Amino acid sequence: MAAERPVVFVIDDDPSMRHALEDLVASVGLEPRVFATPQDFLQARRADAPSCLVLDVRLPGASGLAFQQELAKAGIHLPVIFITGHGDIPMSVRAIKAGAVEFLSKPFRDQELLDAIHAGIERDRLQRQAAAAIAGLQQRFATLTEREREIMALVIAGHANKRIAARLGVAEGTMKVHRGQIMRKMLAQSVQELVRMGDLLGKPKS
Amino acid sequence: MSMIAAPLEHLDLATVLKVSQAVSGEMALDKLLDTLMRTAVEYAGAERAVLMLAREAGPRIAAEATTSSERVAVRLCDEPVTGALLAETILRHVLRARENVILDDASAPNPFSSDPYIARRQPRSVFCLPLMNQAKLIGVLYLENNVAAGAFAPARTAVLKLLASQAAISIENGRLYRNLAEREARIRRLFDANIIGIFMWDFDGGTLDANDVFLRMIGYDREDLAALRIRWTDMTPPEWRERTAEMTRELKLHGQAGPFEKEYFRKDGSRVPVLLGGATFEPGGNEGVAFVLERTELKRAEERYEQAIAAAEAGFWEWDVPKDEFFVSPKLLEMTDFAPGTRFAGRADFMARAPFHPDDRMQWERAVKELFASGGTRRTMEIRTIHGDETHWALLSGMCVRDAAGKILRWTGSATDITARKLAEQALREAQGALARANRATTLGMLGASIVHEVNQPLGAIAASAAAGSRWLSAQPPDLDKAQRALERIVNDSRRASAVVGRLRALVKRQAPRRDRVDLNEAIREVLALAQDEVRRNDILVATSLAADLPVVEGDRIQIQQVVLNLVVNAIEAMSALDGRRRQLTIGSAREDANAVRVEVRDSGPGVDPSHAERLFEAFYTTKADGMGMGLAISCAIIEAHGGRLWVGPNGSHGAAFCFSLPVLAAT
Repeated sequence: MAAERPVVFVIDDDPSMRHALEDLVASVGLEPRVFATPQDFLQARRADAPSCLVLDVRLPGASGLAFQQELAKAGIHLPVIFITGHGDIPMSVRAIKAGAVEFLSKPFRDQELLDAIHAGIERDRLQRQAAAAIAGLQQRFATLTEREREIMALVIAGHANKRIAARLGVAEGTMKVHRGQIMRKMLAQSVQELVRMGDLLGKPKS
Repeated sequence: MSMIAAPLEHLDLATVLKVSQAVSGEMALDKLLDTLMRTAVEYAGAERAVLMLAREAGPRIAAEATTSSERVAVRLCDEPVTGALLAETILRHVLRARENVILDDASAPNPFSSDPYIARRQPRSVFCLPLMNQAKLIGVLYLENNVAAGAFAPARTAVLKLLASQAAISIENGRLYRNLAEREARIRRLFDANIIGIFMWDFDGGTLDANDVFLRMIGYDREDLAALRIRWTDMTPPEWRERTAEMTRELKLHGQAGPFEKEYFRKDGSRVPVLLGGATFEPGGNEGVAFVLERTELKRAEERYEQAIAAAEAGFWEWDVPKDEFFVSPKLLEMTDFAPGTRFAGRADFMARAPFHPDDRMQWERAVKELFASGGTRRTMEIRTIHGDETHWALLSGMCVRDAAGKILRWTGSATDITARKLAEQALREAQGALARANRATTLGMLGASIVHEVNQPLGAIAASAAAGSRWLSAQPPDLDKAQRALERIVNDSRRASAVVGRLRALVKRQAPRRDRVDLNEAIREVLALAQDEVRRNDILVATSLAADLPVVEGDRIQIQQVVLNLVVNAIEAMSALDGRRRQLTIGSAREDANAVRVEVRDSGPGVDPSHAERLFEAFYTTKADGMGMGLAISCAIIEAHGGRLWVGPNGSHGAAFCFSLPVLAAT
């Protein structure tokens, strides 16, 4: 995974707010990318780096809250920090419930925003690590043969070697060879670890 | 932008239509200006373009477009017009004559040759045209080309003129839309706050929308609303039709009506008594909004009073004047907290010992004295009696008997407990006050909230820029260049914040076209009636000195009353913390001179610190813990829009005197 600088995306239709936020983010050594509209943001290429999104609630076209939902539907799981000129409590509750990191009313203290940005980036970093781990697992799982996958499912489900061999109609020795192969390919140290991997992969246990 | 990059010889009606649609389809003002500038520059083959928008204080530069190596850069701004950006003499000509100016070669002698900008920058082709919407000047577009002479050929200018007229309409729409979107959101919040029943109606009987409070009141639900089953005409019982028609006439005539009492049929056929006021959305429009309060509580209080009357025996007194013997009936003894059988050493003894409110005792005694002196026979008065923490009300009704010479022999009368009725009246006043407040909230309150939002936008940017700037300064080594730019942004955003205030004033001014004949004394009396509860609750003495032959003024009665009410409420609030000193509120009206009248609201509060006096009228300036700082700013704008003046001075040694003057209506 490329270790790029964390990126902070900003969507605000107010030009002076946009410039001010861009400068504030740059002043703490983070990489700002600013956009006037959600469309501009969606069309831009996003670097493979931990990031978060600072979003104005009142956007031209759709509201920020609607755009937050749109992002989630599109599978873009960026942590969102809302800023608003005139927020109310029901609005902030809705935003936080939908997974926003923070909901700040303008004018806000710079440290509040920067803290929220750091929290957002940290959240994204963890999400990315988890996603990378799953991607690795999936790659390894892809190297298993059809028969090995079948056996892995039965092992995860908790069946003994003898039972599995009988069920598949193979010798127990052959079965153990397969099983060793599975543990090696999946880089699993123990059956317990293999079971956890199965959970992460979302394989049915029976 | 690909459609605009079409070569000029291919310009045809279809392209013009497309461009025109691009401009007319854009509701967001910033984007519209951006599109307009790009389109204008690329179509006209101009190198630079500057857009001025007309403001009340004169035109201001709103956008500048420049081209460099085939790219168009648009800068949106709000700056004064200067000779640094364009030829001012040409602009002035266009503003005055409202016609296009085309210079095919500005370097050749022409009527504008002496313009300093032309002399210095030597543009070749110049094209300047007004943006007109109907007869109104919206702005001016200035284009120039420094390379080619005759750049603005008739084929190009024809397209530009088309574009200009479309843009003028769109800019006006964009401005209106921006205001509208903000106000719409504010109205929605009031509507959904469900403090008071609100519904939107049309004159044909339709109910367009209603909040939950109103639906509960009339026993319908949202489905009924969606299915158009709620018709306020059908909900009005027959005996209330005439009253409702009266209200409808008033709405059509004045745009607002109420508060009125009436009843509605609920969905289940039962009735609900209500108090309602309404307003049309626009003068002469077919739709409007109504505010509704359920009157059931009020009705119950009235019924209780009627029962009390039926059951009550009144108390009686009789005074034998020559002998000074004073008889008090058992009921009156009870009403005045005396033990049964109590005797008095004459009338003065009773008056001194009975628990009358000191002010009322004084007033009653004065009235009786006047009656005796005048030769009249009857006098009634409502007075208060104090019973520990409770105050009761009694109606005193006395009659005197004289001998042939007019000498008074007896003074007899009755006392009736009217506390229940008084409470009902107070509840009614409170309900009316709530309605009036709701009405005001829709105008002034909403306006305030929207201004707060608009001013928070630049304030947010200022805070973020300041934080960034201070970080650049404390970096190692400090980045002075970036800090400098942050400071420049702060300066620009501060200007923007103060422009918001300017817009607020403009908004209030724009809303002042109503021209009623206003009797100021009557208007003041109405405001005092409205503030009566507030006055009583704060234990304030009110005095009026209204000039008897005050000439009428011309203006918006409601707005002027808002100003008076605002000053009265401020005065009451100023005195609410007073301890010991008399709380005296004095309202006066007088002729200022032949052309103007003056209204004064004086209080005995702590007064105004002279060093704050200037700032009091600025928006967002407040000395109150929970104030928004909008009341006096709006009042000031209202009075100025009426051609008057609002000022403050000291009220003798204690308190403040807020005064305003208004021009009198010239005799016709």
